[in-house]
Amino acid sequence: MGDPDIELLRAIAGGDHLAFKRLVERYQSRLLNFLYRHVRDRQAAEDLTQEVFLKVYQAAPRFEPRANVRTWIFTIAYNLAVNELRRRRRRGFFGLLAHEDRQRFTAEAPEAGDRLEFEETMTEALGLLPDNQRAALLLRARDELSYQEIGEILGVSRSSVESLLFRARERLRRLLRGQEAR
Amino acid sequence: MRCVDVKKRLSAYLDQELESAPEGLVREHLARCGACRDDLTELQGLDIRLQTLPEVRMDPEFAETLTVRVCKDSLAADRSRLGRAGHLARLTSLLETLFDLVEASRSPRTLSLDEFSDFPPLSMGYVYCRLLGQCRGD
Repeated sequence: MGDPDIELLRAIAGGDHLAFKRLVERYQSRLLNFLYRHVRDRQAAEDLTQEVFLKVYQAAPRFEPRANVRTWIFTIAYNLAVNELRRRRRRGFFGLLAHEDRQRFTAEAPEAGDRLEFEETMTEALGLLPDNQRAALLLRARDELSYQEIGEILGVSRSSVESLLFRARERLRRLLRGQEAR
Repeated sequence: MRCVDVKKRLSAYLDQELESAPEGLVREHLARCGACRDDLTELQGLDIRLQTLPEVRMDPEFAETLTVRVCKDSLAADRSRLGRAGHLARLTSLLETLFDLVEASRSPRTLSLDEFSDFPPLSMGYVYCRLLGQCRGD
């Protein structure tokens, strides 16, 4: 039996909307979290997730079956996240949105102070990593992708992924220890 | 292997992405070096912290809503394609008719107009042929 994702993509290319829904259900949560850790804005992450799936739907007929569906989908997500971050940096309101998001979260779960502080510290530290280091770390630690797959997504070699992950972990460790100015 | 070399490889060692030879050397080093073992433990802790970050929950209606949107969009696109195809078909038919007329006038096998000129008197065809001067009896 073949890769179920490829079967789904074939069906989508043939106009099967139920197959599209199944693919969305398979990836929506992982993509939303991956994108949220980049843009740190819930609504923007959801909009980007939607954009990823619309691109997948449009490109399904052109998908090359030898490629890996998972890495293909994450490549689209990563590129959209990087574009969104560039746009936000140009506009310079990244910090403001993150702050608003934090305030909303605090209002929703005031009892979860420690957990929130932990999440905030980690999210803030992740936000200080270069985009490709953050993506490599999230794809490895949270999505458990191989170095080969991460390399395909970021468009770099396997040894570059090794180096990216080494530097990401070192920097994150220093940031969390408070050894590096934020 | 020295500590400085091991430290560079600890990240890949943790991910089980080292090739077997360097992996063996790192493992040997870790068995006898407490400082590098502490580093590895710290890296493992970092990954656990990343893995246990709270999940952002997707709106339960997301997949359904998006699928409905895609359905509507593709229907609209089909209609637009059909609309375009309809216009194209009408244009093609018009052009074919035009070419038929042009071609017919050039064809030696086409019957000349006077062979069709036996219209009843005072009919539109008769008047037309009279004007052209090709009705029978002219």
